[in-house]
Amino acid sequence: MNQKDIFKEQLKSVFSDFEAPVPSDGWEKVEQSLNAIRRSRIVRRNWYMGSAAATVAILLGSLFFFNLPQPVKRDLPVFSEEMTPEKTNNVDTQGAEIAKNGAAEKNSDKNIQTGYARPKQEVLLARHTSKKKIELTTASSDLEKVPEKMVTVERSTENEAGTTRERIVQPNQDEIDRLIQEFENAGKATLFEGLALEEEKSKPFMLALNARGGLTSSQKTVNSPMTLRSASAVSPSDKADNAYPAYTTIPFNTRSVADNVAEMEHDQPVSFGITVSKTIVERLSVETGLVYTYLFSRAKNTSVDFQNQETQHFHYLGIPVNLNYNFLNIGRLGLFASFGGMVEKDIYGEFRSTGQSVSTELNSTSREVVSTRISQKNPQFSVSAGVGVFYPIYGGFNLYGKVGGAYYFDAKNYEYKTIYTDKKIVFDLNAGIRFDF
Amino acid sequence: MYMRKLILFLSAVATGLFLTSCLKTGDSNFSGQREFFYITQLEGTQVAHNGGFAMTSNEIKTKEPDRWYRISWSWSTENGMASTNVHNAMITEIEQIPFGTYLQQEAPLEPMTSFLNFNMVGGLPISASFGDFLIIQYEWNKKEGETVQAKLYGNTDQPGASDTYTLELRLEKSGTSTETSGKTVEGFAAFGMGSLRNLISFNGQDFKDIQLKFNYYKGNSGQLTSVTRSVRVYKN
Repeated sequence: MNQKDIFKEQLKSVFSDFEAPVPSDGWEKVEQSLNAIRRSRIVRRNWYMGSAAATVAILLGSLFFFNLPQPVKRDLPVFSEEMTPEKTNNVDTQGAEIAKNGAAEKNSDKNIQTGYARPKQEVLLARHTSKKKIELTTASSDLEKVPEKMVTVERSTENEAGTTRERIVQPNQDEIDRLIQEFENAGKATLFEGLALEEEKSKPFMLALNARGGLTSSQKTVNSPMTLRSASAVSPSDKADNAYPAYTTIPFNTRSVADNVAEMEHDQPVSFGITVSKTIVERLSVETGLVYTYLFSRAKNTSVDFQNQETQHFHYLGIPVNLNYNFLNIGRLGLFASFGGMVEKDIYGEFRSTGQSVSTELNSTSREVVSTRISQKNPQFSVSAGVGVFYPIYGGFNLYGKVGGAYYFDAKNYEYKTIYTDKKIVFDLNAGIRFDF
Repeated sequence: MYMRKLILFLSAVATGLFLTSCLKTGDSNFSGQREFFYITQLEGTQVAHNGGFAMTSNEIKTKEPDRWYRISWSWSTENGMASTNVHNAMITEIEQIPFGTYLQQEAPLEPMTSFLNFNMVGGLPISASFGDFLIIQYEWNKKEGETVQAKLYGNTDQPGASDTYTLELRLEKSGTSTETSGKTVEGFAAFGMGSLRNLISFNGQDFKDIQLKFNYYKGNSGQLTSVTRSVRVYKN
């Protein structure tokens, strides 16, 4: 210990006056090193972006991967079961073992009849993946009846419970080759389908209950007076017709509108519907049904001597016709695009107006409360498009949602202003539950 | 089978959907207090209207036609209609607007009764639909036994009459006062202004908006005051 200290002291004394020589390009190197740090930051930033891109790519790749035909392992032609030694008759260890038996379960009561301690494991058969539904086949209890092309392999294993023998029933070499070839062909066939649909054939009919809400409302505030009713819509009790031309054309309005603030608002349409779809070709279905839509609008005018508020309710029934195309499946999640149109007609409408004007100069007042049932003259046509997703939840039931928009054609319903007449394009969100049958 | 029933159901609903046009009923009620109405005679019956609402009643039917009135009234759906567009109204008060006099000549120079306040009823066009009337509202100091008549004087020799037409408004008093001090009262006067139309060039339009400049004596001091108001004059 002391020797080490002496050694340290000697070193200190030798190097106490030592100064490392400063290289002539010292500052340049320092500068370069700083630049290197900056570069490394840029590189690191690029690295982050690259990482993010790679993550997205991996995610997308995963989605593609998961969407590829899944039941490959199920195609392995393996019959396997565990059995007691006394029942073992035929032993043939030739041929390659093409699959391992999984963890075998112990004997169950059901298998007592055959005397086999049969694992409750699914034994999968090779199949042709031509999108036919494959039924998983469990090992027959009658395993003694092994087909001619099959050979059995019996393998003894020892464990704590004692010696058990495992009999593996497998095809012979020709059959194995044939099945492998089939498997490869099937794999090639589906591999290039990319994002394939579910192998199960989609059911031909779909019944859906859905709700739809517009994403945006329409609001307008101006100074000139506004009304939800156009002049042509003034009810016969409010206007004169040709029988009384003397007061038809010229208004007498003592109201001052100089300080008027007029507001008009059309709420988002709200719809509920029941639709039925039929698959016409694979992935493509045509949809129709019945859709109820509720529209609400209000207008308000406020000035010093005049206040008025109008509300308007319309209840529509419509018949949509849509084409839905299921363009992508990600696992169980399906994506679809929708395009179509709808014709709607109001079945009930109500207009209510309350107003009051006061003229302090003339010492006069007027009040009005109007509640009128109204209707639009013409049916409303629209076209719509959107994209959506669906997800199977139980049995044939699927949850689905769609975001899209609709364009409402000019139906020449000028009598009453609605969001259809004032906004034309309405974006909406659609959600519902669908039953495939 | 499912589909057939469903399609049948949808078809039935769709058919009903487009046959809905029986919705023209509802409850409404209107009312007014001391509102201006012009009573005219249509198909042998007096009808009061203001350009937007027409009504009649037993009281209205007894009134002189082609005159302006101030009416307090109400109507609800239960009252029903007298005829197409003419409501069966309930009348609680009806007051005739006196005539004023419009003369196309120079105003007299002698001093007349002053106005305490003056206002032209806005929004009322000079139109045949309303008898070509112009209505003014004024206040004056009335003493017991006095009455006044409003008069408008307009010189036809006004080159710019199509844009601004100057009118001299006067109150012509009659009767003998029996008291020294009076009280402020409100009055209305309806002037038939049909002859004003001849001074206006419409340039092919159905109507023209012009400015009316009213000169009148205001207050106890009788100060000459001018007020300009806009009015729409219809060609017919």
